Amino acid sequence: MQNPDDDKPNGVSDLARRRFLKGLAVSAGAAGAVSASGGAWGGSTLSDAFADFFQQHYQRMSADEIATTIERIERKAKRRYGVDITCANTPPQDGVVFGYAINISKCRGYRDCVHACVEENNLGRDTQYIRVVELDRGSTDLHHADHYYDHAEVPRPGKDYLPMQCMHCDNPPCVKACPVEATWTEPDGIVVVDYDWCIGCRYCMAACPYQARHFNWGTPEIPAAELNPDTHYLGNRPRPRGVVEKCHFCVQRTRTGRQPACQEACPTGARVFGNLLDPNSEIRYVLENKAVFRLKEDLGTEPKFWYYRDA
Amino acid sequence: MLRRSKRAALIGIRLAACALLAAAAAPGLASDDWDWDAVEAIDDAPVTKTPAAGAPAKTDATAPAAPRAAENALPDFAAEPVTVLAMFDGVAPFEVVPSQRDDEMHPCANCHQWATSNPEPRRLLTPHDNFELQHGLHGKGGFWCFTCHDVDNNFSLKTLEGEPVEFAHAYVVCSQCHAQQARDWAHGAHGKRVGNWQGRRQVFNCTACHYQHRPALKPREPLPGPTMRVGLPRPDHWVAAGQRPDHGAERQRDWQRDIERRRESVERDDTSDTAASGRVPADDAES
Repeated sequence: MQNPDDDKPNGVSDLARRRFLKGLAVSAGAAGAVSASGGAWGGSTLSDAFADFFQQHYQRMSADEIATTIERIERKAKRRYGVDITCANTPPQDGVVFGYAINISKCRGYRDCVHACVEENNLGRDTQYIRVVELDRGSTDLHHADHYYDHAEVPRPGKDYLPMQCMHCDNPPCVKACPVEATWTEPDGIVVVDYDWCIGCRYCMAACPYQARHFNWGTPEIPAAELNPDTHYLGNRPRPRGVVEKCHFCVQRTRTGRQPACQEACPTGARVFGNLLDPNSEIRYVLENKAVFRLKEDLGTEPKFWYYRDA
Repeated sequence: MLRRSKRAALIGIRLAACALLAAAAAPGLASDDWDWDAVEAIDDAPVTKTPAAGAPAKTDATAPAAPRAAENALPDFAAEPVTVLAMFDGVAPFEVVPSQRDDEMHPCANCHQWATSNPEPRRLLTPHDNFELQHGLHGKGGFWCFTCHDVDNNFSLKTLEGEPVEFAHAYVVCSQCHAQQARDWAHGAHGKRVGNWQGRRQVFNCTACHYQHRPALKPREPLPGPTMRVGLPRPDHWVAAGQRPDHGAERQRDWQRDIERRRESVERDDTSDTAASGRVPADDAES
């Protein structure tokens, strides 16, 4: 009697079954030595797929569990992109709360920060954390702002440019909205997301008054050659489909003392980043000596993100 | 006499870093009727001395003098960051990163490392006609090479009072007029910190961002915005307002092509189902 699968023109189901059996056999045989090629288990191995499923919340994992998880994250990235990444778990520093200030007299709307962010943080190439809006000079009327502006040359006369990203509120409505506590404020003031705990309900996106959160409708598409291998668990590690992500002040850089990618990319020096608790920091000088304002201050979200103008 | 004193007052205001005010009164100050006697008179007048303009002269006297032209060697522009002179109150010592854009100035040095300079202010003719100074009074003139450069030493700047200033400390020269910007720069509200927010504070020199002979930043094309509208026709009123109908489509095509290539390679791996493909991880090849 003939096997019904033999009639299939390309033997696809046969191949899938073979891979399924292969994965099953390997994972049943030796949990340590993982092996599978592409395809099955969502591009993972059975053991990794199991471990993913039972992975705990970041804040509830022991150090050992985090280390195992990080190994798995690196393994999955290798499998998916063919790139060796390092996923750090750098803890927050004591006595540090990050703040950001932008001089909107200096911002000229080049969007260098936007694309530096995309490349640094392994964003899907259809996602941008930073939204530079074009306003009438002197205005902060976001309702009539345009973030799709696309002129042959910027700045345009009579226009101001105001970059918006996650404000890292001290009283973040997104954190309160999350039904599974997949997002929280770290001790250094960074509002982070555990991408593996997020259920993708997007309540946080509805709660955020700054439109700072972005949903991965599909698996983020990143050219493998452009993948940034220097990642952080709470930062720019490759994200799955169906989760929310947002600016995290480049946690993989700033916790080691570096500047965020957007500050580094800014050609006009409009961006000032630093430690709010250090009275000698640049950002403290700005806050104490410039007429700073925050967006939608009346909502009481207490953003740690200020804007100021020259003079 | 009245005219001269009036003009002197105007220059004095500019020297006191009220650049905007001076610019508003600028039409009478075209380069042709620039009164250089008045400048000397102003240099002696105590009323023009702002703290920012006065301080560098004092600290400069104690600072090591710039290498004189006797060596006839180009300054080392790729030098290490230097600690700023103690001319700003209430700022912890920080370092200034040498400008990478000093290359743009080298054409002058090609001749003037041996050619003597004519100190007389004049309209520059051949072979200087490819050089245009667009600094001071919004490009209307008023500045001359030896306002900032030392006429006796082509590899040194000088303050308005004639004190030598190294190129690495160009901010001393700039801060004479731009006192507000200099104060903000020293404290971190203007300019750009390099590399880190913690540890050694290194800041770009003024001339890293502002080309010193044409300090205004030029407009340029922005990078593509959010991709939601890429590939879609833009609304007519945006196009009418000067935006291009299909900007960003090229970049969109590029990364879509990359994605498709990657998909193709994945499909190849799936159908071949062997360990021979380049995308199969190493641990798989071992088993």
